[in-house]
Amino acid sequence: MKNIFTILIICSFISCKVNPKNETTEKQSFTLTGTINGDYSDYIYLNYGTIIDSVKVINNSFEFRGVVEKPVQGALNLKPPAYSHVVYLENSNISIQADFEKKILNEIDHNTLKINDVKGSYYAKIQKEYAEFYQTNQNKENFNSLLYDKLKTFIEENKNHPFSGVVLGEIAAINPVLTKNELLELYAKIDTTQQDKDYLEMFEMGIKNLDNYGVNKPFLKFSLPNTKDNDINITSFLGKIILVDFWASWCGPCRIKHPDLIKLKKKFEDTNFDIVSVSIDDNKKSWIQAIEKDNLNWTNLIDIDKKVNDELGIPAIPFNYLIDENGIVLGVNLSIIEIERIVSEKASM
Amino acid sequence: MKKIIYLLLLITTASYSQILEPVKWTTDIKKISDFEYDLIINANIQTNYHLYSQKVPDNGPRPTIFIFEKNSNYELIGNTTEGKGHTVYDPIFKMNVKYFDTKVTFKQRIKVKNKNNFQIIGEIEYMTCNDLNCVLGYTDIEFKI
Repeated sequence: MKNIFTILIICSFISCKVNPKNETTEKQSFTLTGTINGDYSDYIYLNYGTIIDSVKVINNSFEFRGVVEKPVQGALNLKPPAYSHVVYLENSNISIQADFEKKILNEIDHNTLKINDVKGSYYAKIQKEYAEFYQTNQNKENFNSLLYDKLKTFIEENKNHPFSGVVLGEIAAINPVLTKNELLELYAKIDTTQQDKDYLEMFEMGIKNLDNYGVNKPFLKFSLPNTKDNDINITSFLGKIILVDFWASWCGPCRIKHPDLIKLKKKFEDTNFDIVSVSIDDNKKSWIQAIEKDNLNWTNLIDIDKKVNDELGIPAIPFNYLIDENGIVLGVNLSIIEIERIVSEKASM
Repeated sequence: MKKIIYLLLLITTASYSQILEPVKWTTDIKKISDFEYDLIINANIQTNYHLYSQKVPDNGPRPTIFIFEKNSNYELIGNTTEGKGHTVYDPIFKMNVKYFDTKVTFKQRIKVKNKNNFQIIGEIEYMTCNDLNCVLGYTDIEFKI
């Protein structure tokens, strides 16, 4: 146990890969072997970068070989219609153990894998560790300080690993639980030459948005037309706590959340909480039809040329902002649970 | 609920890779005859994201749209063809929707009107969605004949 501890300490300073097989030479290629429980004997596909590889599953086993320049996320899927499953590839011997399952999506059988275990991939190990930490703690009230403490060590140990860039990019742009300063402190630790450029861009974009309209900043003041074509200024909602939800009629994931928003509105109907939906539809007819279909009984505004959407730097929809009675941002892209917690504390009759 | 959250995390930390660009486009040209070429447009689609067909019923997801700049050196022959994809019934939009995942190739046949070397400029307007979000996309493409 003491030897492993020593190796980890040394490794965290010179960033070597912790390889369970203690290989002294760095491997230049990967093998991905797997066993699949269940009655499946057709092809399995592995995508990474621009490569699509395929092998037949024989006697419940398969093996892929290849080379990656640095650790990457790849995707594994059985014969379509199928779900895609993320695999973390790096030049080592990786083994996967999974169960074959059929799942119905949109009334069609899809071939899926329930991945039970992944061995030999450091990337998979740290991703799982991070995901479990996030899942266990994300609804705690002090999640932001828990996450910051966790990432301080995590990033230090993995400063050269592409996954650090993934984590910081995603937090900055999508779920800004940490403050701009905390993010910049963590970012300063990573070796940016080892990171995927897209994630670095995502991080920069997220920081810029936090600068402009992050937590504790005044929200953007804007005016957009409602369903009756009257211009409504967002400042007319001062005095209320509002959830500004960005969506569009063509966005399936947005529309699936509308029943939750309706429940939320009902829960706080005797308070000064309200919802304002802002659509980036470019077709008014589709927009209004969707409002009627989904029963959005609150203020609906349309951002036809996406001016507000672009000014806020919204990367994807659905995306929301929770704004307090003084027009200050309380949260960016919060989950329903987080919104309920904050509104329960702050809303008044 | 716990399962959904875990899946969310896997998607959060995995599929949000390249959320700014869930689709990477590459182009190629194939000569068919002295005066005919195929413009080839490949889409590499991020895990679990879907890209949509050029033909999608009204009030559904946004279709993929190719626009080729008009130019006296060539003319378009027929429509842009697309791969087979998957057509499924979408319970949110209550319609059959054709989409692509992982990789898809679009082809546009053109007829060249002279022997000059020239460029064809185009643009692609598209949308990709996974289970959690949708991203609007726009990219310029060019072909050198």
